[in-house]
Amino acid sequence: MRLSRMFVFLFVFCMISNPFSMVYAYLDPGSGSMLLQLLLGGVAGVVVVFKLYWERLKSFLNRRDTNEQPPPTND
Amino acid sequence: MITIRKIPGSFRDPNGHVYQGEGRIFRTVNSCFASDFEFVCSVGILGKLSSAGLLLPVTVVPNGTTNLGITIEKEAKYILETTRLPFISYPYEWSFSALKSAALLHLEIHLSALEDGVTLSDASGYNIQFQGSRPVFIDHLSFRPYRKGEVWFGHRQFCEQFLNPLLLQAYFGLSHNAWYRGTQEGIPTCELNRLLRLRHLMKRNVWMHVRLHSIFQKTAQDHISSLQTKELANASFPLSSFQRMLQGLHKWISKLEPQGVGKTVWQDYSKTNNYSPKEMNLKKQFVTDFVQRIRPKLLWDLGCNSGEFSEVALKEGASYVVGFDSDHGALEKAFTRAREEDLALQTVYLDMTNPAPNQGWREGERLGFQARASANGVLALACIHHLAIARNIPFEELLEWIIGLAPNGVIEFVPKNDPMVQSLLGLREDIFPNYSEAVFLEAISKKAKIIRSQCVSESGRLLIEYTCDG
Repeated sequence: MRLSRMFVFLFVFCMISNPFSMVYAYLDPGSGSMLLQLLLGGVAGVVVVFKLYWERLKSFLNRRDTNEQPPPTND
Repeated sequence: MITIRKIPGSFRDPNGHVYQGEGRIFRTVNSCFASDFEFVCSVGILGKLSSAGLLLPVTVVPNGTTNLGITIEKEAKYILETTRLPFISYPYEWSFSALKSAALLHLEIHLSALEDGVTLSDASGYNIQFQGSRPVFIDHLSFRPYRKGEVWFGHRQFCEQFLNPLLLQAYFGLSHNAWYRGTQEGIPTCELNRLLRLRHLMKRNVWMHVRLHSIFQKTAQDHISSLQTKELANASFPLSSFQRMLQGLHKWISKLEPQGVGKTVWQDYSKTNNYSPKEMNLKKQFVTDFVQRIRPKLLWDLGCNSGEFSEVALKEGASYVVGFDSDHGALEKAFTRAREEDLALQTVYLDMTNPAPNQGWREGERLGFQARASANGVLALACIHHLAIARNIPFEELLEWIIGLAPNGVIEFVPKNDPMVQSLLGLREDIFPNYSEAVFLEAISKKAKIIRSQCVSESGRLLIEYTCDG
């Protein structure tokens, strides 16, 4: 159960993220670890993590829709 | 009245600081942390761990400021006194096995503390020191009451300072020392993640503590909003999951073994060197006589190899030996020897041509190895030719440096016709006209008095004992 749950999230993640770019932004050095622990901790944590990635997925899809619109004309 | 000063590396924790003076070590507990400290004392975890030898013993000095005649900090509520260790070492100077034993100790202590409703506020590798080969936890202020549902705040730090350096050696055959010394804070998870190959990802723990951890870290840094941060902070991590996580790491780490140290140059030196048993005995006797004469409290064994002569020194009257070597295989052997024989031998990674310097915040947080302790004696057996010939260190300067390390010592001169030196010179031009017995003796005589000397091999290896006393 635990493993399958993890792989669902991995799948979602792999769709929307590029793990290999270097990021210098700073929030909290431990927040990645917190996300991981919430995932391991049970349903409530899984929901929090899922919501985070759901927001990312939605913004990714919205961005794509915007890019596909034709450029405005002067007519 | 005791004159004390704050240890420069003790500044991060606002709950208290470490002071030293007249050979004693004190730790303050500030008012902001007093109630937490009182709780930790009340559940008895500190005493329990100290009795088991896992934590450095500590005593509260009653009316500390008054009784000691010292003024420490206005906000200090308690003053604790703890044991002074013979030699402070840092994780970037530890062998794989030493780091592994420290990691396991950290997890064992945390698990034990959780049973008593106490947790550890961080997971710094610098909170662990060694007494011989035995790791011991030294930071009494890391213990604080466990709050129901809280996450393991030290997880990221544990990964960077313990787990990742161990994985580097276990999975890639790369030693952690130089990288760790550079960063001071260990091996970043995102950087280790980039090294992972498919075969590593077959392991669930690698996925969890490295790959997913790294992915989540990036997501959190890039995309998490302040609202989501609050949501995260309020989310709960059950105690049972917390304990399972620690137990899982313990089980995993206890199975990790170093890769690539089995074939190092010096690991089998004690078996493959060209000493006959008779010559070896002469050398051991020379060391025995030296140790029995000065009875060093702290002896440095430069190029200790498998710790054979460190063991002789300890059995003949040295109280504590720090064995330095730059070969990981040799250090592993020396560490194993110390553990199996329960010797007061601490093994430390040291490249003598590039010793650990003062570094960290204001270059005072972590001290260079010479600044940490004063040895009473030094052994430099079969090592100076490696520095003088293989590393081009000026011969006289090298001898001056060794003599400067301790007022008494034994130095071995290995002549050019010795097979070991011949192998060093085999593929290179001999540009070392100064490397001779005459220069050796003259250079030592300039800085110290040669008490005695003895030829211990057919090739003309010469041992000398020097003293700077009197």
